[in-house]
Amino acid sequence: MTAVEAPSTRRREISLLILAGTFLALNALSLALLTDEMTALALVIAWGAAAGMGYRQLNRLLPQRDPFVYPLAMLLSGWGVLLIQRLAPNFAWRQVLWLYIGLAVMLVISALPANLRWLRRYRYTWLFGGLLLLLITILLGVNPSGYGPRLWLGAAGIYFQPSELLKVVLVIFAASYLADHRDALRRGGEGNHRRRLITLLAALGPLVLMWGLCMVVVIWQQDLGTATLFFIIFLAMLYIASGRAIYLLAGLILLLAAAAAAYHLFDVVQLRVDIWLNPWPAEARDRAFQIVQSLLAFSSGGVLGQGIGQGSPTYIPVVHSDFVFAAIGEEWGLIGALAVLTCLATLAMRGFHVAVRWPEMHFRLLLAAGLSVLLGTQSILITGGVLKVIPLTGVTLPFVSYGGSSLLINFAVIGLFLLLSAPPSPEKTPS
Amino acid sequence: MRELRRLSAALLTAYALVAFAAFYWSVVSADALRQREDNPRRIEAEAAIQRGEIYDRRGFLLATTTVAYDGLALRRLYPHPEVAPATGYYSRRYGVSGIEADYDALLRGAEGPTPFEEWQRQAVHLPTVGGDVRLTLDLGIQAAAARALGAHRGAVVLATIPDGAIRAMVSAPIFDPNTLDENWQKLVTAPNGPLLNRVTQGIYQPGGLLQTVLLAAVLSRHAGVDLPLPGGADPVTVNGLTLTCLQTPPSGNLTLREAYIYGCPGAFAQTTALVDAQVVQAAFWRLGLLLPPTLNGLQTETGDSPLALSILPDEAALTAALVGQGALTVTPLQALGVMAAIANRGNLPSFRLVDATRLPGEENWSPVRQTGLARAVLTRQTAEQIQLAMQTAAASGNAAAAQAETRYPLLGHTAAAFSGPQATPLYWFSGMICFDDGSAVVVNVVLEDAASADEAARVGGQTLDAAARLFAPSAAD
Repeated sequence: MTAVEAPSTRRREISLLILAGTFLALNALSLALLTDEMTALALVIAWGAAAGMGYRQLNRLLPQRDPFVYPLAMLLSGWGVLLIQRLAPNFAWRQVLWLYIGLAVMLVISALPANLRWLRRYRYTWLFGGLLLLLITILLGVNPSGYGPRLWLGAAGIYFQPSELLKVVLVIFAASYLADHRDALRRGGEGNHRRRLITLLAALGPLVLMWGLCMVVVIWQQDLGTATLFFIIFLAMLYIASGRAIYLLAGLILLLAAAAAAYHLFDVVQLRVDIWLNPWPAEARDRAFQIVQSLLAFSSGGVLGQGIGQGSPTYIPVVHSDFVFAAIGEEWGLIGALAVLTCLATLAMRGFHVAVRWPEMHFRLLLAAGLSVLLGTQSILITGGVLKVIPLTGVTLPFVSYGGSSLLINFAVIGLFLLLSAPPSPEKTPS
Repeated sequence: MRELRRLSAALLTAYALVAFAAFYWSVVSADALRQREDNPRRIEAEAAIQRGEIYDRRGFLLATTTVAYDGLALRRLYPHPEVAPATGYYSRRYGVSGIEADYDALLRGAEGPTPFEEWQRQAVHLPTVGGDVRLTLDLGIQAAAARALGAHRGAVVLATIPDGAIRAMVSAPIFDPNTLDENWQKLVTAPNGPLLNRVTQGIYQPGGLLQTVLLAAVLSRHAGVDLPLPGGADPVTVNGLTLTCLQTPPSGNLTLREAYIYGCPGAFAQTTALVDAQVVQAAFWRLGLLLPPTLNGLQTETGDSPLALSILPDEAALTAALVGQGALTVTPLQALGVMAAIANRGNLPSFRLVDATRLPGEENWSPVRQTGLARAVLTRQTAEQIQLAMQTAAASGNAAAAQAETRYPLLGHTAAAFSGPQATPLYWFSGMICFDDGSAVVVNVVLEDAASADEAARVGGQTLDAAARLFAPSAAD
């Protein structure tokens, strides 16, 4: 992209933001009329202010950024805020607060040097920092709802989930490490078979060790959704760096073996697989209540949906968190569900688009691709789980589900996307 | 880069798979899921239906739905619970019965709107409003019949002739459809079966009720109904039971006509001496005792098909069959059919309980077509001969207790039967009041716990009187 393209980028971006704002405003108006309460409109105004502020700052910081990423993230997060107002109104303003914090983090990242040396150079520091937080969570973790896995660190009513941060940190670490060892992984070094194998293992060793450490800590917490996500990200990035499909294949076989082992080791995995295979029998009704109600929500929504506030998605326990996609299916119908999937798929594809713009800069490529795989896989894991395509994994729907940590980290990813989409020269073009 | 292309293709494929799953659950299997019993939305949708109303023939409200301020239906109300055998009940938990079941689609608003209108309604979440049903029942006659029945267990059904319109349908013990949900367990386990509509589904031993049919069979062949039959007044013993005349007859041999007037089974046990058994069998068939009658789709019953009289194994079985203590059982509605054919000069009308329906939002009622034409089952002369016998029975014979209840000249016949292993007696009354213009009101009464046939006659007389006051041509003037 050249400097001449910047105005057209801005026009495209502002048009998309206005479109998103119109959609949200109409839905907020509908909800306000239905409930006789103006909060939904106030929330959309707050969203609009955040979107406008973010847009202005980005114009100043990154005038040559990708024009789709920011509007898509804002549309999804605004939709999420409205949904939380609809499903769990007590949490709506809290989500807006996290939206502002997330935007601030995104802008801070956008303002950092575009050469990303700060990120690449301190990869072990980032990773050990993330792991340390996770270890503290194991010792001092809480659950804001008072029951269930204690995956949060909290103080003064504000909770943060370190495993969300660890996802991004792992991608950064893997991108940095794999960029440095790319040649060894691709060629396997010089000399005979044995020598090449030793080189390969030497190159992979620290990476596998670090990844294994992350996996152990996450599995210790029984956060199996995040563990699955880590596994897939690791495999995908290794494949991109090495270009060898055999890693992917071996990894997938390992994943299946791990799943089989987890089925026998963890009750929660066994339960989720069983209800995935057959949630319908009467005796499984209590255990499979969430997934059955989720599918009933989609059937109730049909093609056009019941309209915001007019369905009954609250039959699904904790619908505002893990099952927010089912609420979209019921109130916006198939069209709404496809719109969300399209937005998420476009975001992931824009990440790949960013990755291929500077193919010779391996760290940027691997980072952008890794973050795309993170966003894409996480959204497929949760939407696929809600629709009974795969067993349920307790991950959030990026930008839409209720959850401060998730929203904050997703905006950090957007910040990185935007930074990566801008030219990598140290000098930034003034707006 | 090739790896990125492959990975993005894999991700897009996964998204496509998820999108297809969304399509599958939202469209392909949506109907099946919506109908699932464990779908709480179904109950919610049911609650949102403003079910239509049911009226009697004069516009008195028999069933309605109270609606909350937000348009959600609260509960079904039945201002006159005594009409429950006809209206049936509606319960979100236990389903529907009676007219509520038969006209469910109309009452719940599934009939009427075009698919586009239905889509529009759903899109803006307007509540579903059902259509209305107007019955042929008359609340006044129904109340009179219920009053006459009092605390007895049994059934009363009354119709007008020639239109076959049911004007009263009482089944006792009665149940209150307003408190169905609260009392369901009690109702379904009660030994006296309050949920059973005895008029259409109560299967009873006919006993002397068959005497009218046998008389018709003999008259149809011009056989000697006035020939003295030796032992016609004698008791008959069947299955260990001794059956006697309902009223003391004059001494000497009785004719079949006299036996009918005094309710003597002895003469009727000899029917096959006057006509062939196949003629009697044909009369059973023609007068509708072997088939369930149709009544606007209400569930009606008939007893098990007995062996044809001509192939019964022995004389005792034939005697039992002829005195109504054999395998043949009937419902009060079937018994009413016999009276209707006699009152209608030999033509058996098809009965109807629903007069008209009205689609949601419409002001005008659409009449419900009669399900069939009247069938000629007896000759006019035969019908008139039976009427004469019934007139005498009411004037001075076994149905005199009925005539005492009305100033209108009444035709009637009472009968006794014994049912069950305990040989519990039950009493029938069949009667009619005929008007000069050829119209008539006919009634059938069965009492399961009465002390005598006179009680059944009194119930029938009072019900006929209430109907005659409304339907006699002079009353209409």
